[in-house]
Amino acid sequence: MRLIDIALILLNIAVTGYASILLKIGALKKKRLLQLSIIGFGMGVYFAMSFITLYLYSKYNLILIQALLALTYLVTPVFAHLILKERINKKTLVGFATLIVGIIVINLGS
Amino acid sequence: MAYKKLFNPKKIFNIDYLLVFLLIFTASTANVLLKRGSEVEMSLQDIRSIITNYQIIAGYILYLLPTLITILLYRKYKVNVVQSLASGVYIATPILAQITNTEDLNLLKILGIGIMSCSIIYIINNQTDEAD
Repeated sequence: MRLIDIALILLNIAVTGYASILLKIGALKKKRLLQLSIIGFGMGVYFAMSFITLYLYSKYNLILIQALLALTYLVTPVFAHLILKERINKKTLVGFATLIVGIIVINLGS
Repeated sequence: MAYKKLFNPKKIFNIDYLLVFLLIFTASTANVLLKRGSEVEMSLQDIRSIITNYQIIAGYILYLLPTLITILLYRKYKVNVVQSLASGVYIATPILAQITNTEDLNLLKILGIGIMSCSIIYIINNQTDEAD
């Protein structure tokens, strides 16, 4: 895999994770205009990132890209912890570590 | 106790589980459609080749639904809980890719998906216990 593609995957993971937090913040806003603005921005970011995903799909295996993008699932709780002050406990960390092992095994198979 | 918890009718017939199922199904279908669409000869610089590719258009339209369901679920649950449930997409997509002959699974990929499934189930149990 080329370095630029790895960078694109990392960018996709970080930005999509942050967009998830934006959607959460927007969903909880009471003022309709503010709510729609934040959700709209979050969805726009999702949409923009999907072009990177499409590019990656055109070059690599679907299963490999999906496994790598699963790292979003590790990044989002970290953002949720930093921004929304949601708790991450030890059991969740063990689950995350196992998830990474799964991703590595899929990478070996691709 | 675990049996009672697992078969709690309140949990099984919760509409949110249906939403999560719909989210996983539509997102994984969208992924497969986008992959199939990206295999057709096209250039990402040429926007016309993208907007005339019906598989990519269908994929993007289908992507909208999981995003809306995610927003609905965020109104009720923590980000960690929703993300844990939504990560089923990463398991459903390879299975759907195999069923639709988009991609083949080998032993290592199956093993990796199995490990990911176990970790996701473990995290879901952990997160939903916390949410209770």
